[in-house]
Amino acid sequence: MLKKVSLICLILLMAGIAAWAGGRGEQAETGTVYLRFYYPVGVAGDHARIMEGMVRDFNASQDEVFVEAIFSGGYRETMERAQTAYLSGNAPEVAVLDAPATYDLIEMGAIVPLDQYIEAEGGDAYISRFLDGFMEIARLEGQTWSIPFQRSTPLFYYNKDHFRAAGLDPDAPPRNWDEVAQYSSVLADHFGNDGRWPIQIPINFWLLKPMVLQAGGTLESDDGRSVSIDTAEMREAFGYMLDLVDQGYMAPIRQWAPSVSDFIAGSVSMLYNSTGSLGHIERSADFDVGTGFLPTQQRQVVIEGGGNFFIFDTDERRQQAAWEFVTWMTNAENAARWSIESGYVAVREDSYSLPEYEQHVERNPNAITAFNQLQSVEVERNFMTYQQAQLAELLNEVKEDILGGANIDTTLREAQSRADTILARFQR
Amino acid sequence: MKVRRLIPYLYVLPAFVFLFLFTYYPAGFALFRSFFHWNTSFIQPEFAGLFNYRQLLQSRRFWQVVSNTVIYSLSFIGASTILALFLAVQINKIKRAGSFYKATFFYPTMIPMAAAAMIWMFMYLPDYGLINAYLRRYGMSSVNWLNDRNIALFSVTMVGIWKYTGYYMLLFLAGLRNVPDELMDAAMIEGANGRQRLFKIILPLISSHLFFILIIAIINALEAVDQIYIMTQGGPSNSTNLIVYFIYQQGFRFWDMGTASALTAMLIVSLLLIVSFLFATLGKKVYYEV
Repeated sequence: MLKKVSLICLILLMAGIAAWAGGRGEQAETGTVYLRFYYPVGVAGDHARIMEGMVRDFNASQDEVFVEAIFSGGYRETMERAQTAYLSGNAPEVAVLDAPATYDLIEMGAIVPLDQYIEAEGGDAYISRFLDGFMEIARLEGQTWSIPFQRSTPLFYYNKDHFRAAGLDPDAPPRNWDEVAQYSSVLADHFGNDGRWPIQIPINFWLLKPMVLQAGGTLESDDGRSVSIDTAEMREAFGYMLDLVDQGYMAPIRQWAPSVSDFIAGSVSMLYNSTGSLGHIERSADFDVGTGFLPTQQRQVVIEGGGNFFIFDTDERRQQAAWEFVTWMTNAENAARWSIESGYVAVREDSYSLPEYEQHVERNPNAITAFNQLQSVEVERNFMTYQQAQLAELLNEVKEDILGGANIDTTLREAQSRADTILARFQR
Repeated sequence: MKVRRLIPYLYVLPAFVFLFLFTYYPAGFALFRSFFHWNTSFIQPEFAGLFNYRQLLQSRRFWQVVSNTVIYSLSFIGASTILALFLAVQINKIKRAGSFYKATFFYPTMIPMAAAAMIWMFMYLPDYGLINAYLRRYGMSSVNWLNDRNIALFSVTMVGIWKYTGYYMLLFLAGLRNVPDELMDAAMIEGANGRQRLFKIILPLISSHLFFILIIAIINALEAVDQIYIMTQGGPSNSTNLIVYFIYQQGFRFWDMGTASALTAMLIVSLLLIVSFLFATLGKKVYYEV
């Protein structure tokens, strides 16, 4: 009896598995295309909720493509996850990744160029609607590899209430490095140094590169195969930060995410951070938030940053479906919606003339600062090389070393030789 | 009769197969792959001889990680076992509410390391963290626990000690149950002082427990990674980068599986050497009979 029952169970189980496997196979041929979409949240805030909402609306808007949005941590974690998935043969169909990962993604053969899809969409007429400054990093060796999505620039935040209390003009943030030091001294005199700091520049290569450019230098070559760390301009950038630390205006080492919490808590009066943090800061701060261009030095220049849509090398049908999803997410209305809710810069010019965007800017004048910065100063691309993750980490470490008190000459020399070793296999 | 003798083999077979597939095979595979280029430039692995090992041994970063790991391990193992033994001996003497203290000290062990790391991160916050708040209240200056490269390794070691001491204490307590009261009474009557009682009677009698605790403490020390990932990501200035996190970094962040495999192979071999050395030396002196 027992034997019979178990035999029947076994047969049912086998039949079930066969039916399930068959069903899935069939579904892949026709019907809805199922896409896995990895996305990161790179700044503080509830961006995952906003993203889930947009993907839900996309799924509801049509029935040919179904996208499953998969939150994957920060930029680094999402890249780790995507590359591991790809290299083990299980790549997501589409992902938002830090744009500077492009060289590494191309090298692995993970992504497909998008030119044929762009051509079908109208070619230049289509792509020219995206802000110029954001397209540079997407175009390499004559091909377009990604579509801008959650784009940002470094932005200067300041606490207007603190400025008023200390007798500084709340509508005139510091414009250059010297003024940052002056303002810091005024703020320090007024507030003292009891767990409060006039300024914070968190540890991040993304804030280091614009300072090197502002001092008149370059950081990496266009082809991403070499990096210049041991330079006079790098010393100048560190000179600026070390002065702030030595004067007691800045905590030597503070990480990215806590620096935003410090600013919101009012323990820091001026902050270097990303446009992407704007939404979160404005919602959370109980004081008057001011934003300005990044204070400059010799050269009026800033870099761009943030994530782009990449389409992974799968098959024609799924790539096409992923493209549908990408164009929907980056159309004028959705680019505006993403920008309004998150604080990222809207990536398309036609978003800015939409009535809802104009109203948004009217209510939140800070929302337009990043856009104005992109229009009025030079824009260079984010730090992008081969082995980008490793070199970015190296730069962060250099910053921690030097601001933590290590000898600047030996640190830069050693970092340079480590960078050369990392890039050795990419020399041609 | 024959079948009977086979049965035990059959019973251990599933566990053996499982262990082989998920422990010995991956370890062997890592050893094998450590002789290959296997990274974003070599998606298909290519034989590299000792290249990965040479690169590692020449890099200062590797030696920094080794030194971090040695410092972490020695201070973690030393502090947690000594503290655990001390607490166990004292709690063993407590006549009332002993289980209350046992439960209290054991509690951190039940908190997952990831959650513990979050709790400690809050305590370590520079401006409004719990520890600095106390320091300031008593007129001392704040310490930048996780962002100062001279202190950060100490700060993450504290988390490990906090988490495991209660567990080791419980194991020591089990060992102390094996120390007969008559023996202690006799020693007292003969006039043995506290130190003599500890070193001549207690430690020899609980040596099997001590040995076991030492082995798992070494393993706990070398496998420490959760709190590093959550609290410091190896920083600042690479000062809290321990070997397992370093492997993760090379393997999954930089996708250099060849280097990660070489590191894994070195870790496995050194663990094997340490443990067999301990079994060959201390293990011989352990007293198992009660």
